Amino acid sequence: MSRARLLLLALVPLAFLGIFFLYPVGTILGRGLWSHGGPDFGAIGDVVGDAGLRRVAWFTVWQAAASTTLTLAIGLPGACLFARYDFPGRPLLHAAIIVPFVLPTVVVGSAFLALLGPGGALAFLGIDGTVFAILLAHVFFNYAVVVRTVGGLWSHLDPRREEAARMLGASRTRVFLHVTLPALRPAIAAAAAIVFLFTFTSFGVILVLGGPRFATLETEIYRQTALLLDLRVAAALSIIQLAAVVVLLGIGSLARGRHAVTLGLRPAATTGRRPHGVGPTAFVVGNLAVMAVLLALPIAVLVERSFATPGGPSLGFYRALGDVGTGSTFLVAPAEAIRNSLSYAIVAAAIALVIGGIAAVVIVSRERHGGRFARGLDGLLALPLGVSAVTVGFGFLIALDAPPLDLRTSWWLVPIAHALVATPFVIRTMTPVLRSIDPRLRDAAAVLGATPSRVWREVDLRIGARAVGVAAGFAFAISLGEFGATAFIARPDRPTLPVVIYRLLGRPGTTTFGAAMAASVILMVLTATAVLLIERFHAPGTGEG
Amino acid sequence: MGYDDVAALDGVDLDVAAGSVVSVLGPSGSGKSTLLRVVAGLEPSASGTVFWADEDLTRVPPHRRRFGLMFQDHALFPHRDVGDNVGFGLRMQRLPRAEVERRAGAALARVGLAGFDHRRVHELSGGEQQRVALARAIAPEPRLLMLDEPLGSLDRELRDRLMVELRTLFVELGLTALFVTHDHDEAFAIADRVVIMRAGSIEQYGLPEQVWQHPATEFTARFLGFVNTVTLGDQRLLTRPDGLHFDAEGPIPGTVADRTFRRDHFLLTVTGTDGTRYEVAATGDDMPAPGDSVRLAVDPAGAVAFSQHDHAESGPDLQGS
Repeated sequence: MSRARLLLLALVPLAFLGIFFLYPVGTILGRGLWSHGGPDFGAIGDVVGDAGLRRVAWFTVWQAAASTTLTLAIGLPGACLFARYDFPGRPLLHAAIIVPFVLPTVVVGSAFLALLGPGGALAFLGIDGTVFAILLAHVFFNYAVVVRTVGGLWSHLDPRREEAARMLGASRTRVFLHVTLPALRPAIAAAAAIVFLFTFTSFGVILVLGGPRFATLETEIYRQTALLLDLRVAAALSIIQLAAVVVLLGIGSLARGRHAVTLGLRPAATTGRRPHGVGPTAFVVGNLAVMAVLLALPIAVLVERSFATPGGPSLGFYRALGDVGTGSTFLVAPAEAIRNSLSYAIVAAAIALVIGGIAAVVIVSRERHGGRFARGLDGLLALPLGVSAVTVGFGFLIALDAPPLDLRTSWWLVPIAHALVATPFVIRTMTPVLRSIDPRLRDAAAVLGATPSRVWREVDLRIGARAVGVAAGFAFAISLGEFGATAFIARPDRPTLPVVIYRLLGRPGTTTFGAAMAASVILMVLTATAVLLIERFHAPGTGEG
Repeated sequence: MGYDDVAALDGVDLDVAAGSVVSVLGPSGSGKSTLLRVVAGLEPSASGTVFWADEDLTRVPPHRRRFGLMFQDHALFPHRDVGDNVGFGLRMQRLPRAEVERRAGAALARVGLAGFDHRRVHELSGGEQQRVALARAIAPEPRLLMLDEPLGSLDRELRDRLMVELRTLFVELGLTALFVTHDHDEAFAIADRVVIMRAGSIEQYGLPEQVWQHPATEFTARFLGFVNTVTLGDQRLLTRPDGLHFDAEGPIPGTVADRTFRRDHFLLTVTGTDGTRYEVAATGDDMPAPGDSVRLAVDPAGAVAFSQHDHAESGPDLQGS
């Protein structure tokens, strides 16, 4: 494709990014750093000077570090399990562990409330309402990140190096410390960086499980905006949040970039073995037990609670969703929210596919010609990924409130916000596939008489189609579960399902709680279906995701 | 023991004398690498026993057997330099640092890589990496050294050179060594004893010249190059190309089909009157040309007789033809 046409095409995603991300973020910066025509750091000063807000910032860092450490501690054995051992049901389990990761945060919050709260299966632990509930929920979410990222590399490591070390006198522990761990360092660093970022910007989980006692920067921004109506402080907090995330991303990529050691990787299929002996078998069984308790139990409890009406198991709570009475904080019945969520999701996925698809094509095409531009575009479009959804929602709120962009009352506001959050994922999914198209296929088509656009249609489009399916599923699932941005911008007469669940959880009463469980189950099923369809679409043998 | 439903090793019984070098030769899939791994202790699902003199090592984990193993693709640690790699086994023995460095340096010198201590692994050539792997295996002074296709990934010239060096090294260090190869030259040149393996079992075990000249089974004979089958009366004889020669009075008539140059000899393909193909090695100026009618005779010293049941009899009897 000609350079001019590419640049023209690039304008589409850039415009989208500019209007719906850079402009709102700029407005936030303006609100927080500018007043009366000049720079004013008063807002920042107020925030930094406030002891309560300082504690909030410290807690954000602390719980993210603790969550990351805990997730690594529990997830690394899991990674080892999948990398080194074979057992019945392994492929299915490997696909299933990603489901927690894509579950909406409010669903996870609900599940852990049900699990740890009064009457729950693990209520005896007494950690309901403590920070441990939050940490556990974070581990639930991010287990798959560690297992997939580290396990992916692990399964490709050459087991002969470890055998060589054993022959040279190293016990199993020393082999792990001296040979395996150093080789895994890049993957562990990458996983730790991702988990830290996600837990640092965690919103739904903290809101639901933290209650009034625990607050992070994200939830504080929400509180300042929605409850205290102090946009100035909210803006200042946003800026601090942004700065922290940028610094984290920087440290993360520095830590990752160091190791360019050729590891002599082997294909994954050769390294899985049945466990022999007491030790290995106990290891396998132990890990499976951990996964059962950590990952399966909360979901099971959620489902069970959704049917546990006072008179015995029934669909009572589900029926209550159709009743406006339960949703009296809303103008409509919660069941409406399902319809809203689905229609938002379809539109958001479509937008994300178009924007992300164009961006992916531009990036890959420019990369071939030595792409500094391509890398820049890729980085730029990945920004919304690093910045939190709360920032996006908040930015929409304060920026898109004047003509020609007065979208506050528009139906399109929510799907656009969702699309913004989903686009980086779409790009991340599609670029590797597009990149992998062998240019010789294009040459072959051209030699056989195909015009350039025909070549594009026959080769790129056909091969890229599969990636489109996966990306669409991803975007759909993300939109369904999106909470951070939606909490700011969803209108009361058009709530999404995650917002409804949050509101229901916030009101006391068995019916509302049960209805929240029921709604969570519905949301979970919708999301999980979309995701498992993705896994089906994924070409076999394309690796660890 | 086996993988899935295929027994990789089936009833293998092997004794290795101290200080001797034993080579294990066989086609791929014959179980030779598995044999090494079982002896090393890397196959926990194997049944059977492994003894070192009177010590039963069957339940001993690999890192306590004090056996050395050199892998085919060397399996060096990429994140450490050469000296660290070679000294790894010594560090595992918790020797003081100075000692580790001294002995690692000595091992490197033995394999001809003195001074390579601080080089990075990925900077080395294939031959150098192989030597580092060897140095790493011998540095801890193992009581048994095992090598899995040690010269497999090298080119011809390098391989020939290292073959000689390996043999010298083994003798100098008085090592007991067990090595696996698919290359006939290696197996017979370096070893004191040769083992031929097939489909998980041992076909034959003996002195190199014994095995080479007197294969015990038809499989071994064919594997070692006895390509010709000659039926004389009620005897079945197998010979190599140099076991047949042209003789005007010979018992086997035929026509020369083809002649190819093999550097130090010519290889002629002869088609017998009954359709059997023979490969005959010949030198000299008066050798037949393609199309000539010839007669072949068997050289008794270069032939092995087999009965219907696949085992060699004492020797060919050529009087009765």
